[in-house]
Amino acid sequence: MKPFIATFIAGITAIAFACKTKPVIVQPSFYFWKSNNYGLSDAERKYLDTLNIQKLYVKFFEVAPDPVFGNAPIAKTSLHISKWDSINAEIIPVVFIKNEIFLHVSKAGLDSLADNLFFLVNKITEEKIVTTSNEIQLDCDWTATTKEQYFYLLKSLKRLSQKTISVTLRLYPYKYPEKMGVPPVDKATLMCYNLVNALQNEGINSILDLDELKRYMGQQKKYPVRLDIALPVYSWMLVYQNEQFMGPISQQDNSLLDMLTPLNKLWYEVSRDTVVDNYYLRSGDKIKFETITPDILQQAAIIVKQNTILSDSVTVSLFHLDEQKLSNYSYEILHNVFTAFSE
Amino acid sequence: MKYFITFLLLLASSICLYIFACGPQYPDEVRFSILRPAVLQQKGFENFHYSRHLFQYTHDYEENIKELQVTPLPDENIALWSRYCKGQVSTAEIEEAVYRSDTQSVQSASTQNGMIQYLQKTNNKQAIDYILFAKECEPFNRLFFNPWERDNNGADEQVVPKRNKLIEIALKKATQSLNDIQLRYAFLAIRLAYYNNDPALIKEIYQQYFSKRAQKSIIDYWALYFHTIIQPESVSKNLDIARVYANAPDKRMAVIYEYKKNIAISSTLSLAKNNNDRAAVYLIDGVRNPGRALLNLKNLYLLNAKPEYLDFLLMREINKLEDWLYTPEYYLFPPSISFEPYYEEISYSKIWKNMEQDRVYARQVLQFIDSANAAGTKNKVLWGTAKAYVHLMLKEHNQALTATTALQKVINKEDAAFYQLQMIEALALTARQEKGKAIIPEKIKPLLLTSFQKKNYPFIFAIAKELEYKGNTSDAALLMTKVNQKNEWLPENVYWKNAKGINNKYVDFYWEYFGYLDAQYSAAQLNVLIKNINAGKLNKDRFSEWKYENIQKDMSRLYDLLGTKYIRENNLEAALKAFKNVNDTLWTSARYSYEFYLAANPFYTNMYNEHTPTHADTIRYTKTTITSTLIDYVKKANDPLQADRDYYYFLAANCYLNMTQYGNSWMMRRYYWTSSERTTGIVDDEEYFNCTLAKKYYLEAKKFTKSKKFAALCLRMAGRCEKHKLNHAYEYSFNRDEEKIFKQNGYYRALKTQYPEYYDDLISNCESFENYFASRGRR
Repeated sequence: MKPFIATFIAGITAIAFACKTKPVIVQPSFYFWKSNNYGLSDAERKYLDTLNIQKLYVKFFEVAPDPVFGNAPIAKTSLHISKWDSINAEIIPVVFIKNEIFLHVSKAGLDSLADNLFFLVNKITEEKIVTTSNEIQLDCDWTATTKEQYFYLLKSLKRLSQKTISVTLRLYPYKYPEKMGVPPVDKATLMCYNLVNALQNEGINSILDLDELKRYMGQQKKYPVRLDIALPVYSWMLVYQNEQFMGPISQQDNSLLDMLTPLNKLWYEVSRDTVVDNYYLRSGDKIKFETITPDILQQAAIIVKQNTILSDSVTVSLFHLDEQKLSNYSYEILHNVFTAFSE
Repeated sequence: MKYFITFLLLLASSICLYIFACGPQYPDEVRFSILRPAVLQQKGFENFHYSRHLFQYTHDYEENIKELQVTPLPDENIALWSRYCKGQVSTAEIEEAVYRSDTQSVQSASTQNGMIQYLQKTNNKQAIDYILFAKECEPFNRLFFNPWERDNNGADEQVVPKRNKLIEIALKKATQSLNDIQLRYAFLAIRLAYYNNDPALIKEIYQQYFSKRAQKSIIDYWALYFHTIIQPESVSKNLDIARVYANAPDKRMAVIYEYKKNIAISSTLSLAKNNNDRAAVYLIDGVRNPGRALLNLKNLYLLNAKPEYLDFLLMREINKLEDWLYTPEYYLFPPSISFEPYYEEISYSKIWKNMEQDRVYARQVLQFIDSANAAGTKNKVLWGTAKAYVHLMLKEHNQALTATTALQKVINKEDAAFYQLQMIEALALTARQEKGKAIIPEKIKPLLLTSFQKKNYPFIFAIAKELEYKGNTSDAALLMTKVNQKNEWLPENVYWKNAKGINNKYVDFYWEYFGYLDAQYSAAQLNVLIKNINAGKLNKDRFSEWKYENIQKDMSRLYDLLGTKYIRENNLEAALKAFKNVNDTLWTSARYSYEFYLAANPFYTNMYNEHTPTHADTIRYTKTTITSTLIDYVKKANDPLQADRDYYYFLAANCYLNMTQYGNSWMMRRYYWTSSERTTGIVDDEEYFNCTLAKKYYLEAKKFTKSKKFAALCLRMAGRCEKHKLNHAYEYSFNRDEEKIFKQNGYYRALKTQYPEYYDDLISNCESFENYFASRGRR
């Protein structure tokens, strides 16, 4: 009997590994997160064409608490896409929802929110984006306290729209579904970045640290909802003046690096006075420069691929489409990230 | 000389003579003003100083209204809180608590804010509760649109009930409070009711809490504001608007246009209950009056109204007189606030006549100033400056100087008001000089230097004009070189017209000296100026260096201009002498692109190729060589012993034709060219558009030629000149008939009569010119 069992277990294991290496159809995708841009730049379009991007997740607006209305949309997108823009990618609306709106809201309020949200998504689609999608994605960092309300909203939206509803899924709720709940949606995009608090972990790259990623991934498991993947392709600089965190620099260019002296891992010191964004950086100020190198990106893709169970077809998204940020990566590197999931 | 019309037009538009990147725009407010109301520090009325923007919509209205509204007003709300706190809290702390603190910090037991600390210390929970409640109401004090962009709005469905709830609380709290706090709660309820579009409730609350109060605070006037603006137009509304305007500085911009001028002031006054009401009506009526408001001033004086009302309206009256008199006198623009349709031709005779009447009115204003301030109790600086300025306007220069001298003794030299007086003094010193003997008075030279640093171009320009009127055109021109130092549309720049009505390229005003000299100055005056500059080079004092600094770089341009003016007078010798002083680099500089323009042959033309290159463009000229060659040809043509007189007459005629609107050498007479044949008013317009001299010389050539074919050609060319003249006469005619014009051309008729065998050839055959010209025999 024992040999039989051992053989059986070995066979199952072999089958499991065989399943793990089964080719996956990858749909390359980008997130577009800029609210104030009227259109895509030529360089950004080129990324879509060259990488054969099939989906573009566009943030349509955010929902935040409002003292008068309870909650209201803000940061509405200015993006316009017309049929003459020759963009073949499917444009999928994303709505970012601030967790606080769920703290004091009734079911009627959530039904009303779902209705308003769906209305505005359709309105923006009709007025600004030429293509329609059968999917709506919600992005919300829900908590254990607000999960009931959030999940109710998701169901309400599904009922109303009859569309594919997806959500973004942080690694924490992915790892602890019993605590955080499993959102009642058709699929979820696993956001493999922003793993730690940027301000509380000085020595760790808060955008993506491979060790942190591995800790979250843990053992391979199947999430109850079909998963897509998102990886970061951005960097940022966090400004500290007199040991106080002042904020991020949104528009950075490589010439700023000439004015920075490396201190230790991730940290730099400003070597001469300069003005960037609205900051008057003085000599001696500190900058935490978090960036995702091509190597880290590729390694992250491999780690995620090896530690998640994906379906036959998966959307792999890069956050986010910005020509300045993407200039740090060649087309080949980006292409390899996508293909890492199909091998 | 060769050129292409299209390129010519493009290039002409880029010539830096008459600037502006997109072409000159008609300025919205060309108003002469050196007296600054802000200098006299009238708080609360800064947004209502005399300005076109208060009376008419202008294309930059939105920008200017924003500018008008940036001045911080006296904050009566903070003043009231300060009294409430018995002067124990600074205004800064009150502002922080009332306007900027959030509810958390107001509620905090460990707040750092002095006002909240004071209220906590004095156990004034009522006031703290009020502040918290007011902050809760804040987001609702506006109109809402549905943030979800739903067509049926739906904002009201969500917002109105919330406002109603707040109103309920406010009214309840009002019954439980006293004095200021009670009124404040009542006011909050009124304001919320306004945004809820509930006029009945506004009236009810107003009746209950405000209508019977004798002593009023700023809260009463805020409540009155909302109570009033919901009313339809009426006499009583006008009175209430006047009350709000007079007593609530922060509501003045909101109500100024609510006061209806179509309601007779007597009607509004008939409802006034006391002198304060009457003063309020005269005040707002005066502000809304773009015309003579002396009656308002007199009545305010008789009513013993607040000094700031009288000071404010007096300042406006002086600025009006300044505009009515000096805008035409110095800029030759009509007064800036004009209600004539913009397309109407400006009638200068009407303007001068108005100015006479305005000076009569100025006398009345002066009499009022003297009588109202007989005891000398008014704002010394304002009333003294006004008196001095009105004397100046009345051309009573000595009295103006007496007034300025007296006032300067009691004003600090560092004070901005001192500078205002200095300007009035400077104008008086300049203007009182005898005509023909005027100079820049020594005393005002440092002031001119200071004014230049301040970019006070209107003042510098005014001095220039006074000198010009007194016959010192040289110093006038030199001072004009010191204005508008940047080629941009800037608020400090000055714009002016030409007394002769001579037009600029596209517009009818000037902003830099050269174009103005071209239009306004005779050759003789320009000569005097050039001599002045040459002599001035020897002066090394600071003022002279400053005065001559700009123009010394432009000497070649001036000589070019002088030569051009002599060409216009057909004084070729004088023109040549002037052109010889031009540095050759001007001909090749980017300034006028003469290198391009002087690339065609002025002595060659045919019937058709006046603006396009010809085979004869093998020689390059300058203005100097054109003139000297023309002199030579005319001399030869006039020489009875010259065998080829006809030939030289013909070449001279070609040159004269090319120097007209229709030729390739128009820049001998003009600094710009447009296809529009609009007369400019320059002295040789007749020659420039009618080709008189060219015609004369073609006919002379015909007279002296022995060749029949050449004679016919001469007649044909004379006919060409005649055609230009006739076309110009019919340029803007609705009855323009090409066939009729042709038939009217006597020279073509003569050609047909005298040379029938050549007529068709010369009239219709493009190639005939060379043939007929060659028939004269080669030179």
